[in-house]
Amino acid sequence: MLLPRLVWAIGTVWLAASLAFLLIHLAPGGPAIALGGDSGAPGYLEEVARLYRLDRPLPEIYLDWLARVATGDLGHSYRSGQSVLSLILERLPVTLALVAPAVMLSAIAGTLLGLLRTPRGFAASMAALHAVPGYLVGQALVMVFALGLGVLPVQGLVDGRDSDGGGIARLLDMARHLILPILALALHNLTFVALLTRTRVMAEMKRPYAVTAAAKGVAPRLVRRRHALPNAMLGLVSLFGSRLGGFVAGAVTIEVLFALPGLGRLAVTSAIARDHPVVIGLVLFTTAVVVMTNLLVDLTFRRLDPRVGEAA
Amino acid sequence: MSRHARTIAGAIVGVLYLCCLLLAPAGALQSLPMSGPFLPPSFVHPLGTDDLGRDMLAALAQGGRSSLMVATVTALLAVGLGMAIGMAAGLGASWLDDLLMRTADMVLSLPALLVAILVASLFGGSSLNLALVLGLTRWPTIARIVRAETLSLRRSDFVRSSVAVGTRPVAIALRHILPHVSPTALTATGIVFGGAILAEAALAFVGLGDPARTSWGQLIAAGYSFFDRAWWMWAFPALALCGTSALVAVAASRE
Repeated sequence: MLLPRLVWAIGTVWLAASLAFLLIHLAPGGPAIALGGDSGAPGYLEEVARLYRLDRPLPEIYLDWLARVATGDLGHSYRSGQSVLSLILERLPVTLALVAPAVMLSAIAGTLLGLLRTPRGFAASMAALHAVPGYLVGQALVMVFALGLGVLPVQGLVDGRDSDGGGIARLLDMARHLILPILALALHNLTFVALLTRTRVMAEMKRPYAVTAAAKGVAPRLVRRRHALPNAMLGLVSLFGSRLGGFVAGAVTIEVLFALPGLGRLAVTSAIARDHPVVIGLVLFTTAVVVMTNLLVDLTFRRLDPRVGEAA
Repeated sequence: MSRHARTIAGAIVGVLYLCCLLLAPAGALQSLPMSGPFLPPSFVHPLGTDDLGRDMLAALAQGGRSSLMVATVTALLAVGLGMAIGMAAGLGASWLDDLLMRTADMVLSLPALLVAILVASLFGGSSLNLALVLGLTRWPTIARIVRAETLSLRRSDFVRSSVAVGTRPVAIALRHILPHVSPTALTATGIVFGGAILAEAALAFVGLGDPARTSWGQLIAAGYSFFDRAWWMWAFPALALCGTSALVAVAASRE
């Protein structure tokens, strides 16, 4: 049953590449501007058209484009002259350092919150809290902890004033700068995880094994945690995998707010500077990463729980 | 959430948006008249004025108008595509079902916000383009739910009788399936609607919004930098965005 997932993964990247191709050729000013960026240097667009051999028939250009994407050749940024892929890989660690802890934090804290004995209106209040975008949470956090109490930095990844500190001191400085962004991204997603956990655990609690445990006299709290949660976990984590795209979207505004040099901010600054190849590259790269992560989650499950393969 | 509360939440959103639509001054922020800058809330300016002396209430109403427009076009597009594709998958042959649902899975995996940023980069920031991108990437949520309901309806007696007397599939879909799947599809549409409100604000927040329209996201970004001297410039747009999106979430909640 692995084949359908693989088809889905490759198909999704193909869909993104085709969508990008369509947009490139619909863009005002023609495909050369979209492929090379709006640099305005004389002779630049002619050079780009020559490089991509845009005088050929469209199907040929399309196949050539798919081959380029498949080999990771995403063109060059006109602003930095760097290849798009190397630019992306350079910024990737910052986004990972933001997203990975936020994912873990919201997964753990959200699950715990969802397991609590929930009062009436819990679902509605969590849904309402989830409606608060991450950047507003971030701004509120900055107002309290950075501007108000002055204990954490307002923005940036490192403190420009002490540039001499190398190694561990620099890493600690980065960690200090990442606390508020991580919290902002995590708090927004935590409510979603809490809701999901509650719904899943509630569904498991109605199954015979949970009813039996409760009838035996096991405390409700233990039934939820020991019996229902492990079974609910499976669906939870796979649903969480599908939320990864949401984290990436959240990272865009958070990185802009906190001036972090990650992928999201790269997308925004490139779009404002009309450095199109970078934005196209980021769409394709993100799609590929989200797809591959989902595939990995799936594969891990198949090993952990043999039921997954049968159900799918 | 009781049915009552959901109806009330939906009604409040409707009335608020209607007010924005009817009362918002034409044009964008640039065309608003100026008076004293940084005036705190008063009888003349109930929500204060911004750094250039423009009335915040007027700006908020303009923002509500763009928010409503993007969310409505997105929702209409997503619900139209989602219901048509969902019913086609549920009623059609199994290969069609497979094809449509595989496509839905792929479309749902696309990073919609980044695609919207790409479109803003290539075509310039535009509310209509944003709504098109969101509508064309968010229909699968609705299609999945509609398909699941269609599949169970397909086995019911009244649909099977209708097939037996020779009703054409399209007529079955429109006359028998559509009325039954509409309530669930509407709930899912509410979620798409809320997502579009947030996406519109997020794009404007990072500076890639429609330059011809005022957006709550744009007001939040501007107000944040003046927060120490004019809290109302940040607090009211933030409240408008969160309030609307929370009310939509409550209205669209299934519990």
